Amino acid sequence: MAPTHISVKNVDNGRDGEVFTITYQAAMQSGILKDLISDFEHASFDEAIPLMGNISDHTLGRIISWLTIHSRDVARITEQVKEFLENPQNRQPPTGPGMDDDAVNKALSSQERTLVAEKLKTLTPWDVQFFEVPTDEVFDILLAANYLDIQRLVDFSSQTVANMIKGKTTEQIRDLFGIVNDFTPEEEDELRRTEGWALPRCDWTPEQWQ
Amino acid sequence: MDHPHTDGEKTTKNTIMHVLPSELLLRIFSHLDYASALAMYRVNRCFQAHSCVERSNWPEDQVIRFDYLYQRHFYWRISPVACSECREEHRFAGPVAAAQPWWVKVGWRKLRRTVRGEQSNTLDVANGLSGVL
Repeated sequence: MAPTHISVKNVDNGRDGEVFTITYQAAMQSGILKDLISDFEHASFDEAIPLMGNISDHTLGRIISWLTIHSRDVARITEQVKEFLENPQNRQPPTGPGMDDDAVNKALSSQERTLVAEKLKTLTPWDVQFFEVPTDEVFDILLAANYLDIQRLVDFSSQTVANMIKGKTTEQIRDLFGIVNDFTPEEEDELRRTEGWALPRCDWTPEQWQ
Repeated sequence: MDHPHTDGEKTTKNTIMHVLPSELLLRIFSHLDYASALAMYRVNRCFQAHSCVERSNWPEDQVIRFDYLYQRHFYWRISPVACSECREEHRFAGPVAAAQPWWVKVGWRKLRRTVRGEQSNTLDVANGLSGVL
């Protein structure tokens, strides 16, 4: 029988980290935890599951809070989408006369799946606030989410970093991430000369490209 | 958490490349629009090599322009050199004209004309090129 709650702790570098407890449903969003739980389905899970991956307690705590907040997302969003599709005007393609029940149900369930998938990819205001932290911390969350195989959180973290990049010039991106320009002036000249047609105005800001 | 290629020391310099492995950099780049992807392409050599972005939502001419830059980078810059930033091996040695197969030269000329609006059916040229590349 599946446990109702499980505990996790970080044991990397020979230390016992803080123990965090989450619901089974929340833990199932992590591929690693899902595999561990299914591999040891007869275990009592009285003890915390040890995690490697060099995740700090602070980051693991943040990830646990993210998992908890999003644990019912699929069910909640599916419910919202079903409610939305109850209105025939919202159905694409239209489900009207001339279509048998099977065709209608097939079209609706396909639209439902698409809408649910789209909504699950969208950052909520809570997520935006969750990522209002220093850049290093966003990277830590991204790496930890990748290790724990929480694909949605990996995607949200990547979106957050991409949002930091959007609207910035090359020089501003270098400043943001502390990156050194390793092109020589000759190479930059060559880039403008040979690839200038594909980079219509190298000195344009992203707004000017639009 | 540290990039596998580093010695574990965290610095404020070059954080994004030292900390994140390539697959996560690509994941980030997949969310960029054309203007940001071009800005990233010009940040430094490492980003130039990683600028393989998801372009499905871009207008056709932007896809062609970016594919030109990206593929030119990989097909014209032949000799592999270890990247000083992320320490992965990329191809940076600069254009090596002798190593370009004839169809690459012809292909890029066609593509340039296409983007400049000298040919009407851009998609055909792009498809033709992706076939030979």
